[in-house]
Amino acid sequence: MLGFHTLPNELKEVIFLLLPLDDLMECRCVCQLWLKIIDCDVFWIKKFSQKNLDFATSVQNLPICFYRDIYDSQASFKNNLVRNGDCSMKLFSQSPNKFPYWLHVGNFHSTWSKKLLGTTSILLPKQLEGTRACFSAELTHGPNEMHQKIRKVTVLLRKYMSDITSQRTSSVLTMLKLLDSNDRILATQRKQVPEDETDRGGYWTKVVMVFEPRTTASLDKILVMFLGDHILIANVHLHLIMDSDDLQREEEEEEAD
Amino acid sequence: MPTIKLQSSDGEVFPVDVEIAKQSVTIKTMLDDLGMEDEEEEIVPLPNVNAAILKKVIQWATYHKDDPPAPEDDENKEKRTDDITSWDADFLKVDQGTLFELILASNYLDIKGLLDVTCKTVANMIKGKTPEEIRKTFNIKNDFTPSEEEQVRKENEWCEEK
Repeated sequence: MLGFHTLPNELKEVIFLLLPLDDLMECRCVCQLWLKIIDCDVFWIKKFSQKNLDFATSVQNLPICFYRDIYDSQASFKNNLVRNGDCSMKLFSQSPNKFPYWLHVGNFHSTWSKKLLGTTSILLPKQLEGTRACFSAELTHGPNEMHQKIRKVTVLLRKYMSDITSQRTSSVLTMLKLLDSNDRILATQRKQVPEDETDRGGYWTKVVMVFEPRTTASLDKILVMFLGDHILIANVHLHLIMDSDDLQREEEEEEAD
Repeated sequence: MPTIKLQSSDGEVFPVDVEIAKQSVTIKTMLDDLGMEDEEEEIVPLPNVNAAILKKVIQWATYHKDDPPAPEDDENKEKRTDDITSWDADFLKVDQGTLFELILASNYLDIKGLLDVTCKTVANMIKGKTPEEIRKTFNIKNDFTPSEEEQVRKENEWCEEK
């Protein structure tokens, strides 16, 4: 007998496009094929267009949560993030000759050294206040083997809030996800770091994720997602540290603090 | 009113008003492009649709023959699925096999209204269900390994965090 499985995938997609997000999430869990159809850029481009959201072609191959989050957000979001080159969606870019680099239009600096692979500071536009921010960065492989052993990602969030309470701090969800990798995540820690220059009552939240790459080539993307309701994330620093000695030294330093 | 003859995959021939048949863009294009309209004796073979389904399709198209044409920009709107008319709902009280055959037929014949309403009916069968209930409804085998399933669920949880 004809069943759902006998429909061509285009028609399955037509049906899935009729579903609200909560049901789509359930559908992802049904079977491999459904997951494949839903976790697909083409699908989300169509889903976005239902809300008149412009889906920048550069935003691709993100994990499902990114799509969902962008989709869930208000329409103004697209101006801030999806389309606007000032912000982070244009962060990632690839170049066969350079390793690794972060490309974005805005306040940008990077320092590459043997130990510290990269640091970048991203200044998010003020309009982000009160919205949920989400962006991603892609790290590409370089020719040099040393670049392929990244063991630690540190994210520093600098937040400015007029009414800082610890409850609200904990509502900041910071998440790092390593795509396409089987890397074992060894530890994730989150702590608040007071800042000396208390210009606007700012402080940092430091999120460190330590992981063990299983293969040297496994880390080809780092996605960082920041969600903060009613919080202005003013600065984000990403530190990628490749060397385990370096890692240990840093940990010791932290303990000394 | 001029009629044409539609032949199902199993050889049965159905005389249908041209205006009703033209709700199928596939048939309309065929008639317009090939100028078949004048030749009343012409039989249009529909090798992908059997008699039982063709009969249903003709029944639907006959009821909807005076519907206004669907708005153009439909595709870019988030569609509701709770706007199925009671006539359509009754019409689609069929077994799943028939429902999916109707989807395939309306897709092949390019009858947007029927495709819409049949797909909405299926979407409504999915809504509000857990993955296990969905599998049961459509007789789908869970082909995830436990760890894969765990992974997919975990991703969903991430999405739900606010």
